[in-house]
Amino acid sequence: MEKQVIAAKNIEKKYKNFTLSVPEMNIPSGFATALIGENGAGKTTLLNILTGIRNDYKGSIQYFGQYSEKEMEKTAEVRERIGYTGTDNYYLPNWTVGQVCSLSKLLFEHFHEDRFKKYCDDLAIFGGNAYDGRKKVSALSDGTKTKLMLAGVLARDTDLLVLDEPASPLDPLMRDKLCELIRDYLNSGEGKSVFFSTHNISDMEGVTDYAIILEQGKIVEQGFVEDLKEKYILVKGEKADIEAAKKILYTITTSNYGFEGICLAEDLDKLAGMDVVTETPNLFKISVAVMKRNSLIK
Amino acid sequence: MKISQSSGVPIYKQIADAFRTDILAGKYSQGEYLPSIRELAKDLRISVITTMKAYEQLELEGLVTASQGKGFYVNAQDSEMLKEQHLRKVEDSLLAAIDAAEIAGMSGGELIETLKTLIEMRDQ
Amino acid sequence: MKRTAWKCFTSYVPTSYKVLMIVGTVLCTALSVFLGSILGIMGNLIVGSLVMVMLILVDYFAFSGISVRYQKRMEMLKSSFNGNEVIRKALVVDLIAKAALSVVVYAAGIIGAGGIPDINVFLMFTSFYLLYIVVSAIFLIFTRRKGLSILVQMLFCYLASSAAGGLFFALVATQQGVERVTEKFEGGSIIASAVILALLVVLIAVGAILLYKDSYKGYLSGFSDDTDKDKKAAKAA
Repeated sequence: MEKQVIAAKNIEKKYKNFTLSVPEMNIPSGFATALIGENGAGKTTLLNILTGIRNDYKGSIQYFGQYSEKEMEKTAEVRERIGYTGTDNYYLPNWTVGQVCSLSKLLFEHFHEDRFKKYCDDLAIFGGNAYDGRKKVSALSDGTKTKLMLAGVLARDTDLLVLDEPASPLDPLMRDKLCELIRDYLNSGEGKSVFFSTHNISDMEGVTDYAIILEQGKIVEQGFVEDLKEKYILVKGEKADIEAAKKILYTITTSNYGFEGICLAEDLDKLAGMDVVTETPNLFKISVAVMKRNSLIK
Repeated sequence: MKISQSSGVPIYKQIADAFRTDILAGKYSQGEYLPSIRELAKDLRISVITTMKAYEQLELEGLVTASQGKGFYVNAQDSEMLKEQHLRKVEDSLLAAIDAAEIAGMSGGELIETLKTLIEMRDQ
Repeated sequence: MKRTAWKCFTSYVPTSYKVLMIVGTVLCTALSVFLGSILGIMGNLIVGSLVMVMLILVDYFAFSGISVRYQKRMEMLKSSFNGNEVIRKALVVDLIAKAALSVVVYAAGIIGAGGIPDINVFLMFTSFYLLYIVVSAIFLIFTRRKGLSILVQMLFCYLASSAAGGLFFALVATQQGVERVTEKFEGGSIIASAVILALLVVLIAVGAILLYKDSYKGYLSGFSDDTDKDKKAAKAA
């Protein structure tokens, strides 16, 4: 099994107001990787570049340890092995579910209609009613459209799922189900990987193994979750020490009762002498701290 | 196993502690495999990286061995090492009792009396 | 699954397109026969406008999307290797279907009028009909590109008929000219008309190919941000 399912170098895409610039990005094989970033940080652009939806960029990408981005354009193998779900731009609104099914059969070599219908049922796409091929995509809610996209990719034989903000349109119950689907997918065979983007990692924290944090088009942090939880420490302290703490902590929130902030583990001894407690931060707090540090929002 | 997300103790450590207790208590026989890292991650709703780290910790301590492609199995527990672990636990607990007694204003003699009474009550 | 042109076409075009095409064809054919029997070959003029309206409607539902409105959509197609092929084949079948429809309706009108009255009149009339289609096809390229509202597209449809009418007179003049040249030959005027007709058929074929290429280009431009700078940058990479 190759170590990286995607290895990208020198990816660059210029917009009017900002540039997506990624000198190096490696997505580990066999795990679920989260691309965390605020809205407008460049997540969708990056995913579109990786899946061939966007071809005006600079840089090189290697897929599955063997295919280049040129081979991804010119041959079918790579895109056949990747299952992509997107946002509102996925379907033509006047397509029916039946057309989505027949199109999928035409577009992809390994699409299993029976699996598709079963997922439509499992995910209650028709609200508990029987499969109705004549239902128009435009008549579905955002959450249901997302479920339909998921059903479409899960009904295929793929090795990598690339999901653009899959959790955003879903209700909490379905978000939980999404995590379950991702786990089942990872367990379904050797070398299956998942790469999803989100602007709110709390929903997906339970299923994230590797995190890449994107801010204004640049990767500001990446790593396996356990390594990140060792690199950063959550520190809670007293009001009196706020000024001193501000100089050492990465980011800090203060109140009348004290402060809380993220600190680099290597800077911990600088807090000696202060009355503090330390905790392992969760991925949500780490990502907020890293993004705050690099954000335009003060 | 009860894992607390907000207790301040890293999750992988909580898992390692729980398994260590069970292994030393003899709940796993020699050669028995611990749950797979993916199964455990699924049950606890955490990342496989975390469960992997917990098991690696146990492997470092010599409690389990990694078997390529199969998982982690429990090592034969040296009865001497087991005993030593338990003895250390006794010492730790007693030290904690001494601290608490000090705070409560109990004397050393009172503490020993209390200990004797408790043992008698247990044996009945 | 085998990507036949027909399968690509039926999977891609929406139901509204299919319904409109079938119902529309039946209606226009019946109307054509009816008007043909009353007004003779002139009836085709009226039905021609109707056919054009119908063609614009179905185009709006399925393909105007490609060029502008839904340029950024259809990511399901774009993320698959075979997406381009499916769109291409659907576009081709669409053009053939529309051409076949026009022929059927026109032929129905001739039948309704009781056959071909005068070969000359027939040829000139057919030329006018074809001219109308050519001009409309050119207008269709523009309206697809700009994504104009459907009312504006209908307007263009009527503009097309006026333009065709104007060109028709130019055509008649040309035919007179050609006639004088071919006078010597037996049935010279018929040859003249036939030649003009043949030229128009060629023009239509060219127009159809242009329409197809333009729509496909519209789809492909959805893969990038459409600015020349980016394209140059991508090429330089």
